[in-house]
Amino acid sequence: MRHLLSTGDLSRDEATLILDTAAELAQVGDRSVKKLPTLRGRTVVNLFYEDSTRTRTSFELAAKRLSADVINFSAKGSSVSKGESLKDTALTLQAMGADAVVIRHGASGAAHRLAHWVDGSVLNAGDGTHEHPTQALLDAYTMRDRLGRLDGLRVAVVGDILHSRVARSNVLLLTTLGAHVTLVAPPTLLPVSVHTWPCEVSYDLDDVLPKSDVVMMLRVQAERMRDSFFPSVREYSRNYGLDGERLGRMPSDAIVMHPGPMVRGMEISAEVADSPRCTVTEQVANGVSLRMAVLYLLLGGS
Amino acid sequence: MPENTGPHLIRGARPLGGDPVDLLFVDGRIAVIGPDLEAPEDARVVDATGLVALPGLVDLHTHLREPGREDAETVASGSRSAAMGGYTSVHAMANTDPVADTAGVVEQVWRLGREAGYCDVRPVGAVTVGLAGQQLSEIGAMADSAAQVRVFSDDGICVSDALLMRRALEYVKAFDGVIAQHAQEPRLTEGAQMNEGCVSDRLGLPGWPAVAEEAIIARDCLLAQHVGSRLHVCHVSTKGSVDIIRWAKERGCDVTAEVTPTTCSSPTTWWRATTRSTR
Repeated sequence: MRHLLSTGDLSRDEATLILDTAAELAQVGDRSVKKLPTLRGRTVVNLFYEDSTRTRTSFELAAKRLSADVINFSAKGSSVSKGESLKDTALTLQAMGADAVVIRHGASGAAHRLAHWVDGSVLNAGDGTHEHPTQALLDAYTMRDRLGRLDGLRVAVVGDILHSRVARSNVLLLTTLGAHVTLVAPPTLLPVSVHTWPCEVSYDLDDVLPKSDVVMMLRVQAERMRDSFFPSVREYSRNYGLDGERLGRMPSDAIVMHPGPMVRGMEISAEVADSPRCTVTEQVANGVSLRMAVLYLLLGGS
Repeated sequence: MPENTGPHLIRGARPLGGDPVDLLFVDGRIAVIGPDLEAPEDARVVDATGLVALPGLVDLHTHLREPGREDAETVASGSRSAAMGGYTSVHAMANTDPVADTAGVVEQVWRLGREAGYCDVRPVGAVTVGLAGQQLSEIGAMADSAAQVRVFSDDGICVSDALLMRRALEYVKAFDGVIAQHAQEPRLTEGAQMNEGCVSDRLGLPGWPAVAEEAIIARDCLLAQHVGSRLHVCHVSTKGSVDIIRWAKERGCDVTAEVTPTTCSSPTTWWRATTRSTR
């Protein structure tokens, strides 16, 4: 494994190795000195073309805990804002000796393109509406950590599937790992060919919830309403939002996940967001360990 | 097209793939077809053994880019390529800069074609001013000009306004013109990057649904028949479009269509072949 571009490229063994490695590295976070010398002298570049707090910070922390040198390169205030192309930026970073490039970009396929231009490893930190592999991996890690298994787990992913890179990466990864995924959304927010995906599809959240071990709520942007994906925030929230009453109809050990940032009152109520069954902050903590594992495995740390 | 000088005798060509014969051309026209013709004294003799003779081909859809993008193509370079490929007539699309929406621009393109002298260059006039889809361009003036424009198109941009399309179809009846439509419902293709289907959904690229083409073709066939005018559909790319055009022809609609190699290629197949190459 040289790059991490899509969870569809991971075999079950490879994915499991990443999760197991993350579990070992998680113990570093419990020590008073949270640092390993593993990637000392290696350079990791964070190349972020889209605003991101959570993912960029998580990758930065992960690389630093492995003692790598980290360069943060954001599109704003850089040569990119002067019109430099992705390719020229990539070649510049290449010339500076980057061992790994973590890229977040608004265009689907940007990480794939980048992987053709640089010698180092490319980590896709989100490309357009295509994929977000480390998010799916940390989600799987969190499920396994909380519920003890992934095989046979029933996972409902609810919300704007059409525009979600998190949903795409999760469907592929969770299926590989033996979980059963059900996508829940109004038909307008599902891809037209979703019936060809390796998952179930439902338009009825209340029907799916009692049969789910995990419900993953996706952010729904209010501006989708202007493009007629749904009639109003109120109607969306009534049909597809998760509130305390709906949570009560889930199995007692079921968990609520969210990749963040949450829109309280839209897809998730404040009551559910603050409930101990909601794993949002755990997902953030696990994200650091998971990204350490990916950097470690891709950069051949030993 | 400038007249050829002197007679030409083509030996051993196969007209439309038939048996080999000789063809004698005088004053740019076929004078005699037959076996073992005698060559007139001043004739240029060309051995065409093993070759097929066809009538001059007509290309209804070229972009000669002049005026405006002479760095990409000129009337001279494009018409020369056409002649080399057996085309004796090419239609030059209107999306030049300035747009071919006035008699002045179409006459310029027509004149450049005459001066180049490789084949007939027939300018296509814009349906609407500046290809903007707001008001009809001076279609009549272009038809009456030296270029005698008969084909009108906003190619690259769909005449999506149904009323404007109806008016254009009606207006060109006065001089037996035809409207060539770039069939693309604009609202259904906002931000679209590739054919909508399992590959676009998997890649997260905004899809371009077949219905965006087919809905416009169906509408325009019905409009053309309603007003008794002629419609040409540019670069058809879906099976559904072919079905609709076949249906329209059967019910008497005066519609023609074209297909290009580029709209028949399949990026879907390409994606499947390359997607796992970077692991």
